[in-house]
Amino acid sequence: MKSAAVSSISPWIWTVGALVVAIVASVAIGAVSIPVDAVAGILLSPLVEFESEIPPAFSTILYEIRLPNLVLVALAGMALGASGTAFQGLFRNPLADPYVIGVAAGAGLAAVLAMSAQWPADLLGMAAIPAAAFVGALLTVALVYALARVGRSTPVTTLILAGVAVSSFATAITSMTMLLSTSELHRAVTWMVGGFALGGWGPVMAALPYVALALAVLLTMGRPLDVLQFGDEQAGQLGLDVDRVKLVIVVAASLAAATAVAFLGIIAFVGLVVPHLARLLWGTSYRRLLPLATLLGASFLLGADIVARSIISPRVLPLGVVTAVVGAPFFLYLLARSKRRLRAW
Amino acid sequence: MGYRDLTVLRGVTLEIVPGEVLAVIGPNGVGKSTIVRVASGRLPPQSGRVGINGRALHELSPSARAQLVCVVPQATNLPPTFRAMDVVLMGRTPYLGWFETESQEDRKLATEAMALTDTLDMAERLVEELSGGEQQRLLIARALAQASPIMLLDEPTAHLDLRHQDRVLGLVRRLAKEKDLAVLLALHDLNLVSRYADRVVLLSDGVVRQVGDPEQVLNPDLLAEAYGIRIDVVPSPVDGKPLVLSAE
Repeated sequence: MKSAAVSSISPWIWTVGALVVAIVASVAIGAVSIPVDAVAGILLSPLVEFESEIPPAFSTILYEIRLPNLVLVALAGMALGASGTAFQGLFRNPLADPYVIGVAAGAGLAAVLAMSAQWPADLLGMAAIPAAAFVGALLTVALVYALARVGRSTPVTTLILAGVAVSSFATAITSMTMLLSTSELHRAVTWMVGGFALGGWGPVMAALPYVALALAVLLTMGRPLDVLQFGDEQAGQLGLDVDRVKLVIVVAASLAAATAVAFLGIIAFVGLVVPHLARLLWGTSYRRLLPLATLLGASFLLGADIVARSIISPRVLPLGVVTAVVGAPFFLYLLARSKRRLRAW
Repeated sequence: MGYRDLTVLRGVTLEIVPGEVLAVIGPNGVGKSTIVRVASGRLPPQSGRVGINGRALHELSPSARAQLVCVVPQATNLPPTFRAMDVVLMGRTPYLGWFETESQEDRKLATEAMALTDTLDMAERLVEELSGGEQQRLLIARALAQASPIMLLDEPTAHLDLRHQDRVLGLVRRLAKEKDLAVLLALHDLNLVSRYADRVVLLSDGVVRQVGDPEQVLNPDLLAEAYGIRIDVVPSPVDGKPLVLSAE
């Protein structure tokens, strides 16, 4: 079989290449399609003089609609990719992701509760929603972990059962809250099916600090996660402060997932498919996996966003629908193709 | 010492000395693994203390502890898609901060450890491609990369065939002498103990029954009492060391 000694540079070329393609496509494609050369012209106009005429509307669409959407989706994709990878490493379980273990639903419930408190839709109000989602995510992780824990370990089956149960409960309360608070219903429904209708740079600025903080922490956790793959007992004997490392990872991964949920709604499968894909392509070392899955998450979600915006254009499909429709069969394909390796997990 | 409400062992006083292989034997469930876990500092003793050069082990931070004591577990459930080299590099964990990655020096130490354990030629292979014996030697390499003066091994030969049992324990003994390691070895197979241990501790019924050299401890009456069966001990035709046989 192929050894793990794949060139250490080629994965980076692939992921960065995919991201560049996704960014260009994401900016160019939409209700009004902007030619790629016009995109380049607008973006480079402060630096270079262009002779050709670019319609001013293109510039407005680009700066006020496409770019903020692109950055928000890319941030959420990175957050979900990194969060899924971290949860999988933490629970040593390839099926753990923010959606499966109920963190997304818990964050969603807290976000809807926060929205129904009718905070103003300004920057501060917008920053409060991810904070609430974060608290919801942490409480959910704690609850699921307490339910799933058997003695000193967290078996796969109890983890997923607890995740499903807590997830269903949180989703039910979310629906109830939305039905009861009629005035905020529209906003919450819009959010549920794929984020803020607001658009513009506001949500980006509100999301950025949370995502940046979570990613900054998670991306340094590659080596500790590698050590954890040998089990808690050996990790401790190898000198890792197991409990502290786990706590830091849970908090950062929950923050990442919660922020994505707070701004784009519950998006299933990104945190599951993206780390899987990275792992099948480039092996299981979390030091490589975390940064690669983070970049791949951005490309994946941007791709899903392009499909969502163009497939029934000018109407827009919910982002979560696209990731589920693309992600579920893809996941099954990966599962079928890699049964041997999954068994070995 | 023991777990929560369960006391497994009582009044155990043991000393491990540099350059010496100390084997712990006794029937199933007598507490061999418990001794390893307490000696590694992962499990605090219910009373008394585990100390190294006068310092209490379980009061140290995990990394300080791991710099003093390394543990070689059984080679089961290793992450299958790790490169062999990466497994050994994990031994450098106690010397690295959370945000640090291995230096050239760390890589050099890992390479040396692999050369000593005869695993260097498999450095780029994946764990799942290695045999049980190769994985076990890899774990010894990881422990050597940890560069701690005390090495604990819990049944390192449990899943190995005859040839690999000898290779692994021969290696452990050689390392103890060459690197002046203090080695504590929990082992079921009394004939391996006879061949590779300098000193033997016999546990039974939660207490230390006897400590001494293999000739002293591998005594038919002592063993019969501890294991509850009739036992014969004869000199091995190969090297004259005690050969333990069931006489049931």
